[in-house]
Amino acid sequence: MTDVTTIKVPKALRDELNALADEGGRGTTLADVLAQLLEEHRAKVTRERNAAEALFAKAAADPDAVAKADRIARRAVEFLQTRKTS
Amino acid sequence: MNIGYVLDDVTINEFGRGNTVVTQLIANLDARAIRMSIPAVTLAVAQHDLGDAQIDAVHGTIKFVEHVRLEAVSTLDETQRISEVYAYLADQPDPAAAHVVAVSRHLGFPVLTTNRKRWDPVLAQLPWTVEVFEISDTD
Repeated sequence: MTDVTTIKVPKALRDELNALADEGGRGTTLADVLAQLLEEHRAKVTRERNAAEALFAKAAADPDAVAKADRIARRAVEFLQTRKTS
Repeated sequence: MNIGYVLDDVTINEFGRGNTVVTQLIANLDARAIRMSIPAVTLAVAQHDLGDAQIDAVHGTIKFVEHVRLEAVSTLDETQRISEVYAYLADQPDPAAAHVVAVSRHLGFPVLTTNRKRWDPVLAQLPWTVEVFEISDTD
């Protein structure tokens, strides 16, 4: 049998979780609801990470963008350093 | 390195749209440990016309790129700082700019923008100097 434990949550949150469990149909437990929410959260984070990585990979594969960004970055850093010393 | 920039709404929007120069610049500044602050109100305005996948990319960047940081509005002090700026922008309400300026003043970071002209009418109304660095490869 899986180890179980108790977590303290505000009553309003428990009620919302219960409502979600009810929507899930007979036999859906609060543990099922929490597991589903965790899965959705992980999927969202993975989707965001993949989208960001795709954007950076596309930019890194563009030699013109890489060259321009490098020049701009050097100027941007110089700008910051000039402010810091003045 | 405790230096950095505050990204404005046009820059965040361009990034979300896949502007390769802006994207590579963010990667470049991150590699140089330059902090890039994204004010939450500014982000809300910037992403309003982006698609879901574009928003995912922006959010993923905030979560996973080390030196990109979301500047929240979760304390009374943070709220007050925006309010102090907003008071000067009442004639032409610009909450996105107000949060950029509030973060810029608080952290002492200049604004990073793809469009310097976006800032001319804003700066004209403010009693403070706010430095702006334009992402441009023309000079």
